[in-house]
Amino acid sequence: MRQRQFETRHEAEWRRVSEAMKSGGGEEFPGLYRRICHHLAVARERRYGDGLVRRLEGLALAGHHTLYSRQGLTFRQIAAWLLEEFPLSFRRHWRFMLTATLFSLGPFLLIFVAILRNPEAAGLVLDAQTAASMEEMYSPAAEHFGRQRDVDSDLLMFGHYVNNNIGIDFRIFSGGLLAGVGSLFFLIFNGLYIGAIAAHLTVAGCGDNFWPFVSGHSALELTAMVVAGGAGLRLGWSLLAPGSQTRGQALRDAGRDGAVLIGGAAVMTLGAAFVEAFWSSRADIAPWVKYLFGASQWTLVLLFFAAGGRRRVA
Amino acid sequence: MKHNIGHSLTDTLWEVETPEGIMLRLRPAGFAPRGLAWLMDFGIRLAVVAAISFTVGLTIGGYAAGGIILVVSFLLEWLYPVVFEVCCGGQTPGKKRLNLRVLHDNGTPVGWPASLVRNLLRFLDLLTLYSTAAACMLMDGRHRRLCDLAAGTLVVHVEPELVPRLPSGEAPEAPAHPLDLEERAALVAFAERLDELSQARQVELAELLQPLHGRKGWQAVQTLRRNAAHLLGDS
Repeated sequence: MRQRQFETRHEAEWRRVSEAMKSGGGEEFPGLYRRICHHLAVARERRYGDGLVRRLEGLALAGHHTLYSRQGLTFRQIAAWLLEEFPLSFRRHWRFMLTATLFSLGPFLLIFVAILRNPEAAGLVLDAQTAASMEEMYSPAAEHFGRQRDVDSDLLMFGHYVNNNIGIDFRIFSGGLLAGVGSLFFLIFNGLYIGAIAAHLTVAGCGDNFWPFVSGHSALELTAMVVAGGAGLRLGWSLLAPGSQTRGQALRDAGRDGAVLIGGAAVMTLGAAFVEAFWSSRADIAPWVKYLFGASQWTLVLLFFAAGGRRRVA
Repeated sequence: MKHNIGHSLTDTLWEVETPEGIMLRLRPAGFAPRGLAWLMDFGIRLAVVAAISFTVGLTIGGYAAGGIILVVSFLLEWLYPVVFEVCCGGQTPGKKRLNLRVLHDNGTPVGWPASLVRNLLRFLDLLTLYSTAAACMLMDGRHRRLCDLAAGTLVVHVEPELVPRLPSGEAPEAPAHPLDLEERAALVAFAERLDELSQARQVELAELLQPLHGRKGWQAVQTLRRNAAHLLGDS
């Protein structure tokens, strides 16, 4: 069959495919797409002109795109990701999670004990100005604590927590690409910094304000940081020890797991930002209520990671 | 099954086999267009942050405005490319302007996990002022950044849909000798590309085939066009 005959015979069909793609496919689209694939194969085999072949290639590529594009994100997918894949992936990578915990909790405890024994040690991590402003925020005389608060400043702090804390999670994760060293650096640094502030405020007599403040959101925020670190270490480890795969393949697998984990960590940190901005900062809630809330949060988070995803929910 | 085709050292075409058994040809985009697209997106993001800061600052004001601005700048910094890539067919506004598209490296449209990975890991490129990204893209045969390797993605050129070519209007004339498949394809390709060549070049190329048509100068070109019209089946 000559090229022109071929073209006249199928032109109407090709136009229909173009039209169908503009409206996102439709029920008969898979059939149309297979026909286009067939025509392309025939046109290539018969060595028809480059113009025709490239036109059909364009149609096939666009059709492929239309056929395989998934529409949006359904509630069901989100539930499956957060309630099943996320905790399952956490447990599957428990070694990385444990390492991330050690590398943040270790420095935290180290500097904490050091400062309790010798308050001067705070100078190793905190400069004088930071230390002074922290003391001011949580001093027993302050009306609001956790940074100075005006009435509608809760929203400002929420914005700050979202921007800063989720950003930190993302940075910890991306540091994993440097063979995991970046993740470790951020984990250690954050552990030292948080530990130094906690110990410094305790020594300075602000503990009665500080500990109830952080108890509420600590569970979500700190575990999310560990999850981000674990996901980063998983990336780094895939480069260092890809096992029987190529490094590229191992890195891609790590990336796929990482997406599930870092997404979950971001959602947890978002939750922590809500708690921190609108609950932790309230001075009118008795400390024991905050401790109780904090303890329940820790229990829930640990239970979630220990047991989540064992049964299908979505 | 994926492999480089043609002159693998000089050509960046990349073929991906689909479940339908055809090869899709992808054209990975290089450093320059992607850098430009990124700059455009960067400008758009700055403009949006500025506009929203301005409006919110004037209407709401105070600390609340600061909170909103912080959330907006967070979303623009990290999630702007992810949302656009997944929801707008692999194209951020900058990529759309430069006709680029992000795909999984098997040719399917990019999804949430891959887009999240390639854009969150971008922070590392930012640390080195995109020098690692540039180096990685220049070294990789498919111009992938390190983040593309981790996400399993590819940025390709989108080609505009081609319109059907009209018959040349030449009276068809069978070639003087029977031609094999390769020769016929070459003749048709020549006729299709005539518009892109200068007249002198057209003549020069056509005269190479003197053994076939035995003509010189402009006549040689005309004869080949008529032969091509015959091969295509023009009437």
